[in-house]
Amino acid sequence: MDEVLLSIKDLRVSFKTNSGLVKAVRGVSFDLYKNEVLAVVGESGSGKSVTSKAIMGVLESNSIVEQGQIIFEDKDLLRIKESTYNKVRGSDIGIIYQDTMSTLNPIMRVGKQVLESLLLKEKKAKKEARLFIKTFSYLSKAKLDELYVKEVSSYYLNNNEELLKFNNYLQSNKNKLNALSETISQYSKCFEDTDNFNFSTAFNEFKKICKEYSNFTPIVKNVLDYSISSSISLIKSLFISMKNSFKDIDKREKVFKKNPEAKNDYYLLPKKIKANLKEEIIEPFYFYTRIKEELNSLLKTISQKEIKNYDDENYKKLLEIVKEKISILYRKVNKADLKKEVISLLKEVGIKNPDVVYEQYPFELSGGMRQRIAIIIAICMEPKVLICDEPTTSLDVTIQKQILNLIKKIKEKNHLSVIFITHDLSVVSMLADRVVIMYAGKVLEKGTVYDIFYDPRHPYTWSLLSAIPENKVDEDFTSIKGNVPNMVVPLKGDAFAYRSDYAVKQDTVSFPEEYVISSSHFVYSHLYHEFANKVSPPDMVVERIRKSLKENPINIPFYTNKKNSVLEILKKEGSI
Amino acid sequence: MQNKYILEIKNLCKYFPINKKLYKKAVDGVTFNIEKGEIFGIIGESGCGKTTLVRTLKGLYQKNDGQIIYDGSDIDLLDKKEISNINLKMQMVFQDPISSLNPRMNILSIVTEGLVVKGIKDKKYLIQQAEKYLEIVGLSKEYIYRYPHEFSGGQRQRIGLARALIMEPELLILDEPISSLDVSMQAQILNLLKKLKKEMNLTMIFISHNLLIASQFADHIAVMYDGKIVEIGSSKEIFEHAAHQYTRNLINSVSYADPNKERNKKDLDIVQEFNTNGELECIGEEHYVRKEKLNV
Repeated sequence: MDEVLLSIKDLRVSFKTNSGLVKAVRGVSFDLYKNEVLAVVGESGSGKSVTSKAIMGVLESNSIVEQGQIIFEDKDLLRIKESTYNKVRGSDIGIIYQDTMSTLNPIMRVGKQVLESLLLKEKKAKKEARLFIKTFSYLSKAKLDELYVKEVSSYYLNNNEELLKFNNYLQSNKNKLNALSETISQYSKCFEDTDNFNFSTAFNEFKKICKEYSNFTPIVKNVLDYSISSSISLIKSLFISMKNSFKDIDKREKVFKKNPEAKNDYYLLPKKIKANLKEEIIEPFYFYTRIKEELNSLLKTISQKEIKNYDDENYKKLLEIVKEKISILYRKVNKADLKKEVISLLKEVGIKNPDVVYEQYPFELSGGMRQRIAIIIAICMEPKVLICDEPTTSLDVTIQKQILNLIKKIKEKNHLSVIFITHDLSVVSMLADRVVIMYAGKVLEKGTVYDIFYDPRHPYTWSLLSAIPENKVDEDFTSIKGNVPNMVVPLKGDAFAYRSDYAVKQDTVSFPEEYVISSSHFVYSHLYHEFANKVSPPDMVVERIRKSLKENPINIPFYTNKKNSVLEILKKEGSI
Repeated sequence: MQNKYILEIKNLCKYFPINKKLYKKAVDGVTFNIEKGEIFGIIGESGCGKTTLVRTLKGLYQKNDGQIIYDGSDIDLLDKKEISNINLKMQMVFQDPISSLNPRMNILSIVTEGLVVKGIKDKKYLIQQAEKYLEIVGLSKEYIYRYPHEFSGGQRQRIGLARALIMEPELLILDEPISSLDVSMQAQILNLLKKLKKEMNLTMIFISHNLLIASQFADHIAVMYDGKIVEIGSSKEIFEHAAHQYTRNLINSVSYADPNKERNKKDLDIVQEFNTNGELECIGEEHYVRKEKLNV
């Protein structure tokens, strides 16, 4: 639960429009932990969908990401190449949208659409299997052979010295690499000082380095991630310095006249290295962390137990995994089998007549059915993160319940982490572990679902809780007065202050800093400044919480900051 | 004599042809009465025929069978002019605030279109009326020259409401007016509707799929399933003493904004198919339930 899977840091997104720059997201930070459901709650226009689109990298073309980071598996998704992004999108992070009619292809039969994604899944599985085996064979220095696997395990057991040697070898390589990068940085400095510089000699030096580097790769690729990552940064700096030094076309031509070979190298060498690099290093590196984990745990079990006897259980396990991967790599799928799989998947999500639905078009299905199909397609690739962008808003209550239960079931089964975007607090209370409350592109409060529902602190959270139609007082429904602000006008301070009864003067001047309520609960409001006066939460919120705690007593969430707490009021009353 | 009921529906049927022999019975023998000045809720999941029902009684679809009696006069026995008069008194607000407003018309022409069709040409009067009704629904009167895309969902729904109210209707039909809105907007619109009902002496038909909201908003509720009413009664009776399994399912699937309650709730096995061949039986004061008839 404590492992951060996806982390958004100070994200700012704007849109260029005819009426000016719309600042849709103005600095949002939150973390998504493993195996949790994180609900992002806010009215329309609060920037929740824009945040989810930024995670998927599918922002509209008039958007500008001004600032921020989205870190997923040690990568900043905002700063990776489109081709790398394509590998993350869908296969590591899946998404379900509200509008299923535009998610599904209207002129393709439903079954075929699911089948298409199954084929993609097969492709992905094969790729992973190939890399697993490749890495495995690197590590075990063995070919793909059952016999060899036996040898490997015994090898690692019997030769601890060998392992040590191996490590030392790596260390020395690391030093070498470091030295290399230093020389490169020196050279790139030389390139800048163009007046006193002989290009042809420099280029020859450069070529030498490149050659040395390409000699390096086979050693590098055998081993460790740090050398891989450093080699990637190395090659990058090489390219950059090379490009910089030859920016000036006249100078470049001069050099090429003097040294015709240089011209050839200039155009071909980077391509060569790049191709080599991609095939041998970057791709394995992409899956490396995942596979390394798997292998590490495997090797641990091997070294811990005595596997000199080959009948040992753990050894069998290892063997089975390798066998499985090999079988994945060489299996051939036929359409009939895939169709069977599609139908079983359709059954799994609660479609009663899968054979009929398989042959139908999306427009023939009801909204709930379409959402189920969209869910299948999203989870088909076994993503780690599933983003649900208001998946149940346009559905009936009964269907909504079924879809939510389905998402819950799938989450448990596939160990998914879910980002659930909604404006409906009743949906949140059913599904979420943690909640982020957003308004006008800013996070106003975040905490566990119990923190937010039973100990809300921000005036906006209070208004949201009292605007739920289920609490009716004196024949009237309570609503939040006013509208969501126009984001074209630059907003100063706390945007909600204009609609809030609890606004203080400072709200119109600056956005409040983070105030800690407990280790899991944070609020952004000037009301929690040490000099701010105490206020009492709206009666309706107090009444709500009193009522629900009476009906279903809970373990009261722990908090250190007692200011403006509903629970404190209830404690004084003696209700809890 | 004053009629107690503004609308009486008897055995209303609307079938859509699937092919030459088969018919989809979208509305199948629906009977109910709506008192003057009440809010009548119609509840059911999508595809159960609620929208078809109101469209048929508004005259947008030709009914296949049955009787519609508006304020004491049977619609079948009226001439064209009288029917169109009655149609003016029944106004409708649609579910989707985006597609129900013409994107190429400004708010003035959207809101006053009904009056123009009625034959009013005085431009000043039209503008004055439009401004008046925009203010009634809580919009600024400066908006009349804007276009629908400049408004948020809640505001668009208010425009749809103003368009209906400008005809000074007696009966307002609301087809899921809040289901596509934000939670905070939902409360605003519901409050507005309540206020309008009081001020303008309206009778309302309120269609929803959320039993919780409907039971708090409406006076009487009809629960529809597969083109038929399976339970009808006062909203309190229905919510507290639901007799039909389908109504219970609907109540059970209402989710509350209370994590603890939600997590403690046991999920009942939701029965999907119901037999609707039985007759409506009275089980309490103004409370009727359709019994299942098994051997048919």
